[in-house]
Amino acid sequence: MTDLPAQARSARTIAGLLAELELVADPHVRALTRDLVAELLDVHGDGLARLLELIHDRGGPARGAIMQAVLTDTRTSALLVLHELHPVARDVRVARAMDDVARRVGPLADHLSLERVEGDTVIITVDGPAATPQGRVGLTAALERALASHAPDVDRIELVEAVQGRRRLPVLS
Amino acid sequence: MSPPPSPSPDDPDVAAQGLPIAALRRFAAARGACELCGRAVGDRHPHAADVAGRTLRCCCTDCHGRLPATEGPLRAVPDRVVSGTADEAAWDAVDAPVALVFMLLDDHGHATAFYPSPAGPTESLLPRASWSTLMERVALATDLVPEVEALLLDKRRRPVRAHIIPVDRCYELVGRLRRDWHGMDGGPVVDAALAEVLRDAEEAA
Repeated sequence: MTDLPAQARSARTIAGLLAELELVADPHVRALTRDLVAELLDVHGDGLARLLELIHDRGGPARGAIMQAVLTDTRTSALLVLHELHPVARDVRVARAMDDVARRVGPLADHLSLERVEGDTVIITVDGPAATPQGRVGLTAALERALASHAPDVDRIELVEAVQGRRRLPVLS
Repeated sequence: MSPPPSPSPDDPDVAAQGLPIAALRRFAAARGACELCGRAVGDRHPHAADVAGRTLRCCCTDCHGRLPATEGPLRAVPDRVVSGTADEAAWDAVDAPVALVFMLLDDHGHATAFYPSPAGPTESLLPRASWSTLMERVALATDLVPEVEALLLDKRRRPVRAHIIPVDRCYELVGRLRRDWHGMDGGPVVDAALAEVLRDAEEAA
């Protein structure tokens, strides 16, 4: 088994548990669970921050290579994003995901552009073949995949049809 | 909860699924916040009943003040406690396996009985005839506001005690009983927990 499915499975389980907890009738139980999750996240975030500090201070000549490996590994970089420790800003990571998508979808790439990132949502303008139901399905799958590895802190993808005559924004790179 | 199906590396949905970071952050960030408007609330705060979802939401006094108590999908849980007595016939109508029972009434006139226990409350739908008997024999029962209040009967005292308590206090009571229960009938902690919840509710009212 590769690493990705195991990670994806935990991700799915966590998402399911969070949704289920919102349905727990007793508000006190929900509050306790929230406290527990928040405290656990804090402890892990603290530990990770310390780990990065140690790599920086004691990593010696290898520290650049170590950090590069940490940032390109989906599992470790997702954790850095979760704890707001990732050195690359979200806008830049979203742009990288867009580049990935452009490479993946071939000629369809000419028909999509990043509009903006709003809260946890990425808004993308589409036109022509990319705006058809079939185009949207393929595009969404490619976007989900690319965002999951570059910008897992994005929660939703919104595809909006380009208004005729309006200048399209270039894809950031 | 059943385990999710085993994912395969070729499944694009699985490959696309990253850590639900935004959901995790939202969940943790909502600690100590009004679940309706997001503003900070203290340890003691009112609740709103989500009628369709059958859950209680923590809320601030402003949101609570804006909600109706008797209609709509979200209702303000009131803070009143009313105490009285019931006769043996009323208790027999409930046919409860334990000496403490509380009942919630829904909008459609169906009453559900809950019996606290160390494993959490056992729930059972009360026959219509039983609820009718209660309405006839317990003066308090006619006054119960559906969905947001509970009628609590306590047979460990004579005469049987009846209380109307807010539904959020019911959850509190159930939580305390689950934590502190001893022996077959719960032991003296049941009295202590009940007295404490009633006192807290009366203070808040």
